[in-house]
Amino acid sequence: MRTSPLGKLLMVSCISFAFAGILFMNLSWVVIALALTCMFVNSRVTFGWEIGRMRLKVTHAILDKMIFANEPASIRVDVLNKGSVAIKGVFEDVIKPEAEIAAGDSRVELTVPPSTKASFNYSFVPKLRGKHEITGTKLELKDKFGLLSEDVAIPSRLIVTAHTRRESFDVARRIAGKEHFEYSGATRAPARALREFEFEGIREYVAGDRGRDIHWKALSKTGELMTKTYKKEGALQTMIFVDCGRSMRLIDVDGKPKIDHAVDLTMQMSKVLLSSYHQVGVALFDEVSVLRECVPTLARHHFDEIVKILREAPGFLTSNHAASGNQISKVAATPGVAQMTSNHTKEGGDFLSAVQQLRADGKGRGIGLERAMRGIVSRRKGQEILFIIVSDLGSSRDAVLTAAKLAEKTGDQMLVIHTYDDWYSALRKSVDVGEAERLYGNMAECLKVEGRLRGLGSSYLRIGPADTAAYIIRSVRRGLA
Amino acid sequence: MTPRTRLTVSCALAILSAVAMLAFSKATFGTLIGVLAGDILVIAGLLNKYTPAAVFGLLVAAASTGASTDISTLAATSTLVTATFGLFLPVIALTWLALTAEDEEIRVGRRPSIVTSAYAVISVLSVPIAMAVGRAFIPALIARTSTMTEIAIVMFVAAIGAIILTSGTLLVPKIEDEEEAALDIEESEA
Repeated sequence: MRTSPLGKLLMVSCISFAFAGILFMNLSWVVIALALTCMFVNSRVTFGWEIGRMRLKVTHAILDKMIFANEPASIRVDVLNKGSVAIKGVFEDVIKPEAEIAAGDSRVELTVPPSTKASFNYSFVPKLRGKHEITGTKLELKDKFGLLSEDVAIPSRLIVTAHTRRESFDVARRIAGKEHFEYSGATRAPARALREFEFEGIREYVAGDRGRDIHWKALSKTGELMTKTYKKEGALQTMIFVDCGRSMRLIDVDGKPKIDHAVDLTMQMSKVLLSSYHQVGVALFDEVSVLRECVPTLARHHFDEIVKILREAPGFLTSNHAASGNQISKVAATPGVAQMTSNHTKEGGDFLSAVQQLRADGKGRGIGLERAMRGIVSRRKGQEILFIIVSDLGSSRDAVLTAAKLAEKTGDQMLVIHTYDDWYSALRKSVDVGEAERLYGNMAECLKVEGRLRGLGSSYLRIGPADTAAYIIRSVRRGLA
Repeated sequence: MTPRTRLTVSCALAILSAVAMLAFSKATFGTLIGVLAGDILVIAGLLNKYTPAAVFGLLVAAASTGASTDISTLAATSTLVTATFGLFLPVIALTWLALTAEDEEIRVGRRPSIVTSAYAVISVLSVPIAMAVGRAFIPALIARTSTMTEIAIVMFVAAIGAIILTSGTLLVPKIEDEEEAALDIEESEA
C-alpha cells in the first residue's frame, strides 16, 4: 500500500500540528491533528473494507482476426464488477517492451459501479513475428479520499500470435506470378498446363473439389461422390523443413531473428511451387521434435494451411535467453560441450546437458527431422521428393547431415538453404584482426559442412538477410545451388 | 441525492463549519480573515471540483483556528465542548468536503463509520477517561495534570488506536476465472 502525495501532505500537516501543540503548550493544535488522524484512519479502514467486498472479473478479447508483425492489433478489455462496492482505480494492461501502443491507451482510469461492466480498447504493434504475451492487468486501486493506493495484479493472460509482415504475402504473390522452379513448356496458361497432368487415383469427395474432377461414373455405381486426383507429369513433391532451433530464434543486429526470414522465404517458395502445380508440404522442427507438419499436396486452400502452420512457428528469443542460445548454436559445431556448460547460466546449462545426453546415446542425430523425412518417404508411392531445409546449421547441424544421408540413401533430392549466421550479424561491430580471424574460421567450418553436404549429393545455398525467395529460385533453376 | 443538491449541502456544511470555528475561537481580525479565506478556498474547490485548492483552504482555516483557540485542558466540560464543536467536528467536516471535492458520489461504509467514530470518541475523551481511571486507583498522584501530560495522553491514545486499526494487511479483491468471466460478460451483455 502506498500513500499518495496528497496523503503525504496531510500527514506532514498532521505531524506539524502535533508539534505545534507541544511547542505552544496548546491542546487546540493537538485536536486538529487528531481530526486529521481520524480522517486517515477512516480512509484506511474504508479502503480495507471495500477491497474485501470487491469481486472483479477481467477478460481480454482480440478484435482482429489476423495479426501481422508491425501492424496494430486491437485488444478489448472488459471489466465486470460483481461486488457490492464501486471499483475506482487505474487499469493497466502489462505489455512486454517488444510491443508498443499504437492507438488508445492500455492505462485507463475507470470507475465501475456495482454490477456493471466497463470496457476499454487499445491497439498495440507487435514489432516481431511470434507470440506476444499480455501477462495480465495491473489495477491501481485508490481509496475514497485519494490518500492511499494499492496495486493489485489480475492474472488474465492473453497470447497474441503475430504473423509475419503483411508485405511478405504480397511479395509471395508477386514472385509466384513471375518465378517458377522449372520450365513448364511453351506456356504457363492453366489450360495448357492442365494437359500435362496425369491421372493419379480416386479419393472421397471433399467440399471444395472442382466439379470437373468428380468421378460421375463411380457415383452411378457406388452412390458416393468420388474425386479424381491428378499429378503433374515430372513434378517433384517438395517438403520444406524450417529449423526452429534456439539459434534461429535469436534476435540479430537488425532486431529480427533468422527464423522470421526463414518463415518469409518458406511462404514465398511454397506459393511459387503451388502456382507451378508442385505438391508442397511444410514442417517446423527444433532440436528434438517436429512441431507442426503438413504433407505435400495440391489441395485447394493448401497455401492457407501452410500459412497457418508457419504462423505457429516459435517467435524470437529475448535477450534473457540470448546467453544460453548463443552457446547452444555452438553445441553441434564444437566438441567438448561439457567445458562450455560450466560457463553458462543455469537454464542454458540444463538445456545443453540434455542435448549432450541425447547426442551421447546417438538419439540426437536427426531427432524429429529424420522421423518426419522417413514418414514422407514411406508415403511417397515411388515418387521422387525434394527436401528443402532452411537452417542456420547451428543446433541442428547434425540433424541436417543425417537427413542428407537419408536423402542420398532413398534417392531423393535435398537442398539446404543455410541462413549464414555471420552475414546476419556482420554489422554488429567493425572488423579487426581478431574478428576477421573468427569470421575466417567460421567460413572454413561452413565450407567443410558444405563439402560434406555436397558429398552426400545435396545442394547447398548460403544466404544472408538481403536474399529473397526470387534469388533462391533463380539459383536453383540455373543450377547454381 | 442529485449533484446540485449535494453541492448545496456541501457548501452549507462548509459555511457552518467556519461559523462554528469562529464562534468558539477568539474572533480576532486575523482569525476572521484566515478562516474566511480558508472557507472560501474550500467552497471554490467544491464548486470547481478541484481538491488541491480545497485542501489548501482546509489547512489555512485549521491553522488560523488553532492559533486563535486556547485550550489548556480537556478535563473540563467547557473546554471539551469548545474542542469538540469548535475544532474537532468542523475540521473533520472540512477535511471530508475537501477530500471528496472531485467525487460524484459519497461512498460510506457502515462498519468503517462505526469504527472511526469509536476511535474519534475514545481519542477525544482519552483525557477525561484517563483522569477518571487515575483518580480511582491513585488519587494522590493525579491531583492536577499539566497541559503537556494531557497532550501526551491524547497523542498516545491516538497513535496506539491508529496503529491497531491500520496495521492489518489489506485483503485481496476476489478475481474470478477468466473463462467464467467471459461467460458472465456475455450474459450481462445479453
